[in-house]
Amino acid sequence: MKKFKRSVFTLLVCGMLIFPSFLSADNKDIALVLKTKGTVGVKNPTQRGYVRAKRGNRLDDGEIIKTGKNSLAALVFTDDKSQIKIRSNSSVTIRGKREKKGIVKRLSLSFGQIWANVTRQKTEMRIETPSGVATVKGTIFNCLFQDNNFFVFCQQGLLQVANQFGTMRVGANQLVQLTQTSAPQRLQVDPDSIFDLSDEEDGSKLRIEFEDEQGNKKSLILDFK
Amino acid sequence: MKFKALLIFVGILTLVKGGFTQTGSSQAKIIHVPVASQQANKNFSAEARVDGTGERVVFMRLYFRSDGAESFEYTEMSEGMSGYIGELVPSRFSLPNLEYFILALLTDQKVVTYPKFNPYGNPMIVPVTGSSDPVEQAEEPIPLLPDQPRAEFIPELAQKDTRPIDQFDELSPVLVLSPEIGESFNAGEEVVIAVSFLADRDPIDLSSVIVSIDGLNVTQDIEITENLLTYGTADLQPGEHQAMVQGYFTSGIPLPAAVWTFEVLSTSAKRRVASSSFRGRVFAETRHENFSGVGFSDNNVGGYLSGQYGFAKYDARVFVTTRENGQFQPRNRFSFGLEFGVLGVKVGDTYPRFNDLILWGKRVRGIHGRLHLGFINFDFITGQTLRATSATIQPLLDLLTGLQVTDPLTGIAIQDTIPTATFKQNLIGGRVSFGSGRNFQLGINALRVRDDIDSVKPGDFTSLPQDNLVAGADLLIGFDNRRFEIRGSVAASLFSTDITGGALKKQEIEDQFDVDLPFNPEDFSKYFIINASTTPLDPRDLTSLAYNFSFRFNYFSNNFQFGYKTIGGEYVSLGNTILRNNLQGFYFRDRMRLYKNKIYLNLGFENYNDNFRPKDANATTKLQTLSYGLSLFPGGGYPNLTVSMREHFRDNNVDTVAVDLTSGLPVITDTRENNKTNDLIVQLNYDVNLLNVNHAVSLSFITSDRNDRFNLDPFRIQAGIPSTETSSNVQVISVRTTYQVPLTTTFNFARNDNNFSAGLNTFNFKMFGARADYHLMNRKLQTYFGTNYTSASGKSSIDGQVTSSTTDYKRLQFNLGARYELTPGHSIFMDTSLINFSDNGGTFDTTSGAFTPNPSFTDRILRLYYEKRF
Repeated sequence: MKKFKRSVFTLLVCGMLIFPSFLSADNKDIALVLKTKGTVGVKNPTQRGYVRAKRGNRLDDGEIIKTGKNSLAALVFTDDKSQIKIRSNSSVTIRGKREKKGIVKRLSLSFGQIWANVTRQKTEMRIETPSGVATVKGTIFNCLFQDNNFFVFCQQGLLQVANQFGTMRVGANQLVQLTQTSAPQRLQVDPDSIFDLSDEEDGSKLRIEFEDEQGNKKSLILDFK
Repeated sequence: MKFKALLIFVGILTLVKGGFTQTGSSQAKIIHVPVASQQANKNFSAEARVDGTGERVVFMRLYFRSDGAESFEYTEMSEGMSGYIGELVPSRFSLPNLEYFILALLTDQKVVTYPKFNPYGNPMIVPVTGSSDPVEQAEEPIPLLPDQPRAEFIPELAQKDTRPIDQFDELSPVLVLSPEIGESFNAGEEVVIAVSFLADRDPIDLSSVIVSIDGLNVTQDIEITENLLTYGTADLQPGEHQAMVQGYFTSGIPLPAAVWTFEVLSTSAKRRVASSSFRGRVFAETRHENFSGVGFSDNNVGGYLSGQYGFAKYDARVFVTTRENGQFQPRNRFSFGLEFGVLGVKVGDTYPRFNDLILWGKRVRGIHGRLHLGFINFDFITGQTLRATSATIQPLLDLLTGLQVTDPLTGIAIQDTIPTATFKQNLIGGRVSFGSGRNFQLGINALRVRDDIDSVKPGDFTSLPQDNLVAGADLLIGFDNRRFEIRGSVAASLFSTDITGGALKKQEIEDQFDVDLPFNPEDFSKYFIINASTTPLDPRDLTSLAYNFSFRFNYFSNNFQFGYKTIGGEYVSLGNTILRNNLQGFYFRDRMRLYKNKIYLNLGFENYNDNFRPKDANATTKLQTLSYGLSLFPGGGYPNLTVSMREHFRDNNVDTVAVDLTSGLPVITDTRENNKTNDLIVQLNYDVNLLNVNHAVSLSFITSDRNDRFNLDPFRIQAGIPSTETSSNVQVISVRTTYQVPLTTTFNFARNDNNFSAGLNTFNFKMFGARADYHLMNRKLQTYFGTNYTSASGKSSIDGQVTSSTTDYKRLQFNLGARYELTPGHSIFMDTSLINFSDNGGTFDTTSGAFTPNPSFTDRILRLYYEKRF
C-alpha cells in the first residue's frame, strides 16, 4: 500500500510538473517578428523592461511591442500568416490562445497605429482600445488610437466595431471613429489625413499633400526607388 | 512508320498481361543500375540509357507506383548528356516500397523495357525508408551543375503539381511564414526561415525535422518547438537560394516537404519594390547531336508563370519543341489555369484524376472545370486524349529489287499509303463528390471516351475506332487525422472495339445473340454505341465490374494496410489504360518502427489470381509475393543499413502438356508455369570524415533469381522449349567527396550480370564513372568534368534456334560543362559530350553461317541552355 501511495504521489508530482508546460504551449509562439526598423522593444509580462526586438523573435501571449520614432515592427501570426505592422510611436500587447481552429487573437492597442492584413479565418481577431473594439475575420484595415480616439479604416473586406454605446459594420473604404463617450460614427474625411497608408516602411516614398481645384485635400505618393 | 500511341498501348497491354516484352530490337538494351533503397524525404532519381542499337530514343518513361496503388503512372524522363533521368519528388511515393520500371520507345518504333521481361508484373522494388536521425544524415548539396538542368519543367510532371507543398493549401500542416516565395533580401541582411506546424491531431516528430538551404543541412542551428521552426542567417551569398523543410509526423507518415526559393541581391542590385506575388521561369534549349556523321537537332522553349492576384490564382505553362510532328501525338504542351477559391478552370493539357479505376492522370487537351464547395463538389472534363493523324505516305518499293516503282506512262513515282492513321479520341467525364476529402468523401463518376470515326479517311487505318463508357463510385472514410482510413471504389465498363458500323438495331442484336432486349441500342448511341463488338454484351455476368477497398491502421508504431481488389476480365477504362484487368486478390503490409525510429521492420504479403476468369486457353495463375525487410538508422556516426527480401511465386496449376497430332506433326503447347523468384537488396550508406574531408559512401548489392520448377523437365528439354530461369546480380559502390575547396568528386562503379533462359541468354556489364564539380567566382561559374566507361558482353538466341547474337562493346564517354550565372536567377548552361562506342558484337545466322557485325559509332552532343527565373 505504501508503495502504491508513493507511486501515486510520484505520478502526481510529475504530472504537476509536466502539465503546466503543456498548458503554456497553447500560448507560446503566437507570432513572429518578421522585420524591425528603428527602435522596437519587446517586453515579456514577467520582465521589467523592454529588450530590443529582432527579426525572428518569437512572441508569446501577453508580450508587448513598443516602437519609437520613425520605427516599425512587422509581425506575422503563426497559424494563418495574418500580418501586422506596428508603426511609429505605438504600443501593442499581443494576446493569443491556440485552439483547435487556430489562434484566438487579441491585440491591445495602448496607443499608436497598426496596419493589419488578416487572413480569412475561423476565429476572430480583436483590436481592443479603451474606446472600443474592432472585430475582423478577414480584411485589411488600419487602426489608430490617439487621445482616446479610436479610428478604424477598412481598406478591404468587412469588419465590425463596437463600444458600450453601440456597434457598426464597416465596409471597404469606410472610416469610423470610436470615443469613450459616444457610439461609433462614420467619418467622411480622407483617411490619408489620419493614417499613414503607405505600404512601404523604409522611407523610400515621398508624400506630397495638396489641394485640387475644388479644394479637396489629396496626397501624391512618389516612389523614388 | 507506325502509330506510336497505338504501339505503346499495345506494348503496355503486353506488359500488363505479363508476357515477354521481346518487342524491342534484339540488340537494344536499357542500361540501368537499379536503385537499391530510397529515403522517404529525398527525391527519387533513376538514370538509364539505351545501348546496343543505332536507333535513337523517341522518349523514355519512368513508370512507378507506391503505397498500394492499383496501377502505375509515369513521368517522362529528361534527356541528359549521359542518358535519361527520371525524378520523383517525395510526395509521389511513400513507405514502405516504390515500384518502378523503365520503358523506352525507339525511332524504329520498338519498345524496350527495364526489367526486360514482364516489367509490369515484376517491376523493380525499392525499399523506401525513413530516418530517425536527420542530423546524422549526409549533407547533400544539391548539384548545381547536374547532367542536365533540373527537370522542373517536364510538362506532364509539372501538370501534376509536383511541388511538394502548396503555399495556398489551407489543409497543409506546414505553413511557410518567411521568406515569401521569390522574396529578395539585400546582401548581408538577415534571412529568417520560419515555418509553422499546424498538425493538431498527428504531431510532428521534431527530432525528424531537417532544414536545408541549397542542400546544406542546417538543422543543428534551428530553433524548433511543436508549433514553430525558425532559422536565421545573414551569411548567404548573392543569388537564388532554395530552402527545404522535411520531416515526419510522430505516426511515421512523411510530412509534406516545404520547398521554396528566395533571393539575396548583390550589393549592386536594387531591391525589388515589392515581393513577388508570382513566380515563373522561361527557358530555351538547343541540342545538337552528331551521331556517326548524321546530325540531329532539337530545340525547346518553354516557361511557366504562377501566382495570385487578389482572390484569383493563376498558372500558365507552355512547352514547345521541334520534336512536335503532326504525324504523331503532340509533344508540345500548354495550359492555363485560373482559380477563384472554390471555382477553378484549366484549359489546355490537363491530367485529371477521379479514381484509379476510372480516370487517373490521363492527358486530356481540353477544359477541366471544378466547383469544390466542400460538402458538395463538381468536376467536369472534356477534351481530346488523342489527336487524329493521317496515314503514312511513302514511295512504293519493288519487293524484289527494292527500287522505287514509277508509273510506266508518266514516270512519276508511285506513292504507297500505309494505314497508320489514328482516330481523334474525345473524352468527357464528370464527378460529383460529397465531403471535403479530408475525412470523408463519396464520389460518383462517369466517363465516356470515344474515337471520332470521321477524323480518319476510310482505308487509312488498321486500328479500329473504339467507344468506352465507365461509371462508378468511390468512398473515403478517415478518422483521427486519417490514421484510420477506409477507401473503396467500384466501377463498371462497356467497351466497343469497333464502332465503324455504328450501333446495332434492337432486332439485329436479338437475332444475332438470341436475347430479348428491353431497349433499342440505337436510341442510346449518343451515349454509347452497342454492337457486336461490345463487351460485355450481358453485364449481368459482372465480367466488366471492378472494385477494390483498402483499410489503413496507423497506431502503436505500426502502419498496417490491408486491401482487396477484383478487376473483371472485360473491365476497360480508356481513362486509365495501364490498369491490369482480370485480376483478383488481396494484400497486406505492415511497417513497424522500433527504438525511437532507429529500426524499421517491413512485412508484406500479396495473393492474387491473374486471369481469374479465363477468357481463353490460358489458365488462372496464382501470384503470391512475400516481402520482408529491415532498416537500421543507428545515428551517432554509424552507417545506415537496409536489407530487403522478396519471394515471388507464380503457379498456373497446369501440369500437363497438350500435344496436337491432327496436322500430322506433333504441335506441342506447353503452358505450364510454376516458378519462384527470390530478390535480395542490401544497401549500406556511410558518411565519414577522413582528413577533414567529408565522404559519402554507398554500397549496394542486389540479386534476383528465378527458379523454374519445369527447368529440368525432360519433355521440355526434348522439345527445345527455353527455360524461364533468370538471375541477375548487381553490385554498386559510390563515393562522393566534398573538399574544403569548392570541389566535389564522385566515383561510381557498377557491375551487373544477367542470365536468362538458364544461360541461353546472358548480358553482363561493368560501368565506371568519375566526375568532378568545381565552383569559381563565388559560385557564379560552375564547371564539371566527367567520364564514364562501360564494357558489356553477352549472347542471346533469337527466334528459337535460327539466329543468335553476341554482345561485346565498349563505350567511353567524356562530359564537360559549365554554368554561368549572368545575374541572380539568370543563367546559361553549356554541356558537351563525346561518346565512343566500339562494338565487336553482331548477329549470327545459324543456318547460313553469316555473321552481321554491329556498327560502331561516335556520338558528339552539344547543348546550350538558357534560363531566367523571376
